[in-house]
Parts: sequence; structure tokens; C-alpha cells
Amino acid sequence: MQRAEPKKNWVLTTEAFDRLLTWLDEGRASNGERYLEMRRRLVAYFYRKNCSTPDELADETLNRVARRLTEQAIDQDENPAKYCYIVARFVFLEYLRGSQKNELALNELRNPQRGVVIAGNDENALKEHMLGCLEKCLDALEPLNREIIVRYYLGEERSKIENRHALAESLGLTTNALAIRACRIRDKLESCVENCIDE
Amino acid sequence: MKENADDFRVITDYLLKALPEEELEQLDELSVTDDEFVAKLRMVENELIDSYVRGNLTEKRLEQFKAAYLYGADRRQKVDFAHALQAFGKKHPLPLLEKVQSGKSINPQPEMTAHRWFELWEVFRTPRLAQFGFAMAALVLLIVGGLLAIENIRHRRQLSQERVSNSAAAQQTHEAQRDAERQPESNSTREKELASNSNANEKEQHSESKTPVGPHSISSGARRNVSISSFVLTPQMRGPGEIKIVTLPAHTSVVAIKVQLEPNQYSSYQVVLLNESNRSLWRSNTINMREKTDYKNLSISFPAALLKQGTHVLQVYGIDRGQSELLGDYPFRVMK
Repeated sequence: MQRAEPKKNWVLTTEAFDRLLTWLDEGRASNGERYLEMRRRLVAYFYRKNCSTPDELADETLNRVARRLTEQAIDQDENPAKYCYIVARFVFLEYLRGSQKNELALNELRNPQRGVVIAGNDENALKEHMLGCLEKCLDALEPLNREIIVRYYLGEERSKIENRHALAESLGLTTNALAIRACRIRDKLESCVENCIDE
Repeated sequence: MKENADDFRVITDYLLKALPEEELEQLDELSVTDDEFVAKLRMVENELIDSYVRGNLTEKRLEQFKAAYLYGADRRQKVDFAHALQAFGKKHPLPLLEKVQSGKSINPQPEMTAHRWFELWEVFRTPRLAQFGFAMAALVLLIVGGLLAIENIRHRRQLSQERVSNSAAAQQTHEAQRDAERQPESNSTREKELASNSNANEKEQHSESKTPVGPHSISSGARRNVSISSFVLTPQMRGPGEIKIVTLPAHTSVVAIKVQLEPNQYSSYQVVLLNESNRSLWRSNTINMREKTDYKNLSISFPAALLKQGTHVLQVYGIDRGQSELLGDYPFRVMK
């Protein structure tokens, strides 16, 4: 009987990745969107758990799921999102055990003020740069989406609520549908700004 | 648990780690597995960050936010983004003012109560903040009202100056205003005046269809000091190679446009002016038309300063029971 390849030596192949994409899609061709969405959720999950490397842990989770798929160790009826969460919990527990071995890392996790301290002038320049990127990214949005995002997040307190209500009315949407749409546009805008800043 | 998870306050507590461990874990699972919860989680997170940036968090929430949320490059970036969004809003306040001006947004209470998300927003609102909010809204309305009054006076002054400088033109304007009384209802007095001006020149405009087409001022050829330029956009003029060219005199202050619509079933419309980059420059109020004819004309006007040299597009939307449909694009090229 052939011996199974050790977990740590396992490498994600194109075939395994394709299988993962198809499995996550659950019969709907999402063109990789479902994978990206799951990765986003996992990154956010590890972030909320105060992990210092949320991206790496999300990738590790998805790699493990892909490996289990190639080993055909996942039931056909298994809910992909639920399975990913179960694996993510294990990855998180392993991370915690690893962190406990390294007190320094743990201290860093507990320090809410960690991170690079940016000098005042640099910070102002960064803010200016971000605002420039935001304007550029807003310009790149479809006009209607631009209107929605600008109006949706404008105003203070009550005027903002009223603004949103009027916007929903003018678009023929419920306020809840508008909120979801605005949130999606904001996500898109945020990643555009992030990319722009990195350029 | 899932029902509780829908609650804004619970999600906020979850984000700020202010829930018992058991509940945290349950919501952790939903944050990966439940599409609806994920959507709400993102919304609440955005609202939370915006509240922090605007200084609207209660003292307790602020402490929780700083201790449990505000760490790491990713979250700092989210906060920076919210700052940038707020700065942009302050720099470009027009959409908010337009909405307040339209009056649509006043008194939305009955429908608001039907919307759980905004009810849940109460979590961030102390009575003092609510009072501050009302005061700010009143201040905004006051400023908007003042600005509109000044703008109105400015345009009226321009019109009266023109009337004084040219009696013929004044007579023409007067007649046109009387025509306007028979015109379809428009929700702007200034628009009515300008619409009537372009109405008065309609015959003249129709007779001239060569390109490039210059704008028709209310006193075209009659005097030098033109401040209002008007022209007509027709559906027939649309399409590649048929773009209308409009020459605006340097001293034009207001542009009045008559948009001829193709037959449609709508009686309410909105017009949006876009620049070359598809950026919205101006948006009309809802224009209501009483006439039941197949061929309708929309008369709109806006400050000429909005138009730069280059291509612009007017988009006409039909509005029915709160839903809007794009009826057509009317591109034109501005020469200055």
C-alpha cells in the first residue's frame, strides 16, 4: 500500500485548486468569486481572533481543505462553508499553541498599539495620497454606484439616515437592499484604494 | 442565536468582543458560513468605523473600540479609508445638499421605523447626540436655504439686468414667461423661467439644424451681453457621428436645454448631466409633466460653469412609483 504523502510536504496543484474552486461553487460557476469570498471571510475571522498573520492562516485553511478534497475525504453532502470553518478552527487552535510557545509573539498580539508608528508629516502625506486614490477610484466607478456610495455615507446622524432613506426611495430600493448594495460598493472601493496606495 | 445575531447591538458587541465566549464562537461560525450574517457584519463594521471617525461613539463604545478593534495594519487602513471618505464628503457636499433641498428626505419617520437597521442605529445615539444631530440638520437646511436664496436672487438680478439693457429681449422673456404658465409643471421656478426662454426660441432652433450648432441665447443677435444660452437636444441627433456641437459664449452664466423625448409612458423624469469621464456633474429635481402627448420636451437649466470644453451627456430617466429607468443618452460637445 502506498504511503500517504506527509501533510507538510503537500503542495497545492492546479488540479487540486480547480477542484477546490468547483467544490466551493456548489454547482454555480462563480468564476473564482466564491473562493475569493471564502478567503475574505477567513482572513476576517483570523483577524477578529487577533492572529498576527490572518492571510497566511486563511491560505493554510484553504490548502488543507483542498488537500482533503484530493484525498476524497470530504462527504459529497458537506457544506463547503461549514467545512472551511471547522478547518479554520483547527488552524486557529494550532496557531494559538504555536503562539504560546513564543511569549514575545503573544505579547505582541496583546498589544493593541502594535504596528508601525508613522511620523506626523508622513501621516498627512499618506492621508492626502489616500484621498487622491479615493477620488481616482470613485471616478472609476459607474456613475450610479458613485452616487450611491457618496450619498449613502454622507451626513451626520439623522441627516445621514434621511439621506439614505431618500436615496433608497429615488432608486426604488428598500433601505435594506440599499445598505447591502452600498456595502458592496464600499468593499470594492476600499480594495481599489488599497491597490492604488500600493502602486 | 441567529435571530439575535441579526441585531445591530449584538453584532457590534461581537466586533468589540463584548460577548460571552460561547456567543462569540457561535457568531464566529456564522461569520464564515452565513451569507446574510456576513453582509450584516460588514455593514455594522462600516458603521462602527464611521462612527468612530466622526466621534459619535459613546464613551463606553469608544473604550471598547480602542481596546478590541483598533489594532493591526488592516484595521488602521479601514479607519484611514473612513477618514478619507468623510473628507471627500466634506469636500464634495453637493449630493447631500441636493437631497435635503429636494424635501424628499424630510420626515421619513414612518418608513424608518419599518427598517430594523436604522432603528438599531439608536445604539450609537445618546439624547445629547440626537439633539446635536437635529441642530446640525437644521443648520444644514438653513445654509442650503440661504445658498439657494442667494443663487435665486443672483439669477433674478441677472435676468432683470438683461431686461433693462434690452427692452426687446425683456418683452420676449415676458411673453415666454406667460407661455410657461401653460407649460408642464416643473419643480423649480428658475427652471420655469429658463424653460420658457428656450421655448420662445424653439421655432428658431428647429429651423437651424446644421452642425456645429451654436447655442441660442434669449437675445441671440439682439445684444452682446448674453448670459443665458439655450439649445435643443433631439433623439434624432444622437448616435456616433451625429453628436451635437454647442458653442458657449465666454460670458454665458446659465445653460437652458430643451430635451425632446421619444414617446414613453412616464410622467415624471430626472435628468443627469455627466462629463467625459462619466462623472455626474448635476442632477435635476424630479420633473413632472402633465401633458399626455406622445412627444414631450423637458426643459432644464444649470450653471454654465459646469460645462467644460469637451463631450458631455445628458441622461434622462423616467420615474414611476420610486423606480427609475434610463430612457436615453443625449451627448453633446461643448466648444468655448
